[in-house]
Order: sequence, then C-alpha cells, then structure tokens
Amino acid sequence: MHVGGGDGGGGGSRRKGARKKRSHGNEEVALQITSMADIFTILLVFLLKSYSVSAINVNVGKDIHLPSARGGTEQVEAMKLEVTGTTIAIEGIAIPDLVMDNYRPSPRDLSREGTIPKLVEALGKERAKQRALASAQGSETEKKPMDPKLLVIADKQVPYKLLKYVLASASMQDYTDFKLVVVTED
Amino acid sequence: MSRRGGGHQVLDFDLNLAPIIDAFTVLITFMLASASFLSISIFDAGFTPAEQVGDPIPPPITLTLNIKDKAAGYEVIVKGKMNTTTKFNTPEEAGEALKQVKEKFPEVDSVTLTADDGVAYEAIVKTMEKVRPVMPSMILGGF
Repeated sequence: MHVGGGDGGGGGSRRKGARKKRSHGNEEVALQITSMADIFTILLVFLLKSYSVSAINVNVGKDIHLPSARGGTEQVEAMKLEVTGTTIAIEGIAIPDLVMDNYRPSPRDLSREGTIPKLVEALGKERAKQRALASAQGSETEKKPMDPKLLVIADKQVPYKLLKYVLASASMQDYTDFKLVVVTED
Repeated sequence: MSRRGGGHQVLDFDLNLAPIIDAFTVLITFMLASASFLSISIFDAGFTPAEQVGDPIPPPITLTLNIKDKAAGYEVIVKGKMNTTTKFNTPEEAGEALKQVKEKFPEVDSVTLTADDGVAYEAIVKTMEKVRPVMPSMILGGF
C-alpha cells in the first residue's frame, strides 16, 4: 500500500527513518538517520563511562607539568602548595618576594636549618587562620589537633634539593602528611 | 491504520528519529566537554611525629632507599640489627631487595626515600610507583 500518492520517480515504499532530499537533477537521496542513531548511541555510552564528577577540585597552574604515575589513591581535601620553576604558591597565591631562577631559590631566601623562612612565615599565617577558625567554632573544635595534610603540586622537573627545602619548611608548621599530586592516565 | 481480518487492528507508526538525533547531539557535546582522560591521584609521603604516635617501639631495622643522581642507580641501606648497603641499577631490583628484607623482618612496614640533590621530582615519583607494591608506606627523608 502506497502512502502519500505517487512518488514520481522510483515508485518504491517509503523506508522507516529515512528522509528525502531533492537534488537539482530531481533525484531523491534518502539520509539514513537510523545508522546515525546507532553511532550516537555507542558514542554516548562510551562518553558516559568517561564522565567524572569529583567534589574535590585541584586546579593545576599552566606552569606546572605534573609527573605521571599509576597506583595513587583518591584526592583528599587539604591545603595546596604549588612549586614551579619560578614561584611557590599556597592555595594559588604566590609567596611575595620569593622568586626563584630555574628551580633555584636565591641564597638569601634560604636558612641554615634547611628551610625557606618566607615559606615558613606564609604557612604560619595559614595555621593562624586555621586556629582562629577553630576557636571561633567552639572549644571542642579548638582542642582537635591541626590538620597535618598538605597537597604538594610540584612540576616534574623540581630537583630534590628544592623539594627538601619546601618540605622542611612545611614540617616547621606541623604539615607532616605530604600528599604528592600525580597524573594518572585513564 | 490498517486492518487485518478477524477484527484485529494493527497500529503502524513511523518513529521520528530527528528529535532523538538532536538530543543525542547535545548530550554528546556535553559529555565530550566533561570527559576526563587524565585524572589526578595522590601518593602518600608523609610521616607522623613521634609525640603523636605515643611511645612507639623502634623497629629492628630502618630501611632507606636512596636515588642517585645522573642515572647512577639506587641504594638500599639497612641499619639496625642488619647493616648493609646494596646498589642496584633499576627501582624494580631495589624493590625486590626491599621485599626480601621485609620477609626477614615482617614488622618493618615503611621505607625512607631519599635522593641526591639533583634528582628530579619525576624520578622520585616513578621510584615510589615501582616500590609501592612492595612497601606501601614510603616517607620522604633527608631533610
């Protein structure tokens, strides 16, 4: 049974999911949307698998190329310390007057104890903020020990000498639980 | 609508795929934008100060894995009831040595990772990745 009268050309029945186009030569071209729907379904399933939502957001600066490794654990919420070739930043804010040249801090920025005093001072200010917040929340919170976790977001070319200075400075302010941030390919 | 014999009515319909394709196009665009092919994970490298732990009983030996600069290899240093320093070319070999020491002293559960000053952070992370299956608890040291 024909639907819609004569077709004027082929005379065949109309296929499901097909559209007709008329070209200049009066030829009808049927666009196979069914195949497109199949492809889109498969693509969608694959992308749904790759979709990820995480409540913890770690923003990595454009100057930092993280090392890649497998076998790491999930992200945790902690204070972020970024180390690049030229700056050290706490929670995205670079420490003022602390400028390095190709991963080498200036000798005047280093102490004999193996720390970076400006970094110790900046971390001390963060600790003071945390203590003030804890005391504002009540005596129960104030009695709890301060969180020792520190997310270390360092460029893969940072030499161990600089890392030692950074970690030693952090440990002066009771940041002893270092979480090294790495990139894992899915 | 077509009729067949016996009073049965069979409904024919054409499924309009155009709106489905529209919805799929929007969904796929959104999913492509939010898909992550790289994820961020964490390696633990911290230490707990002794006063927080209480009065820990010192382990029979202390293990240190030292990464040498300029691809000079790795050193496994054991101190305590056993005193040895052994050199290896690859982190896998060093990991195997750590595994043997751990079998001998099961109560030892951590290793201190140190490196020469010029060793890059990436090399340290790669070493941690290789040794982690043998010794999950690694502490950065030398400072």
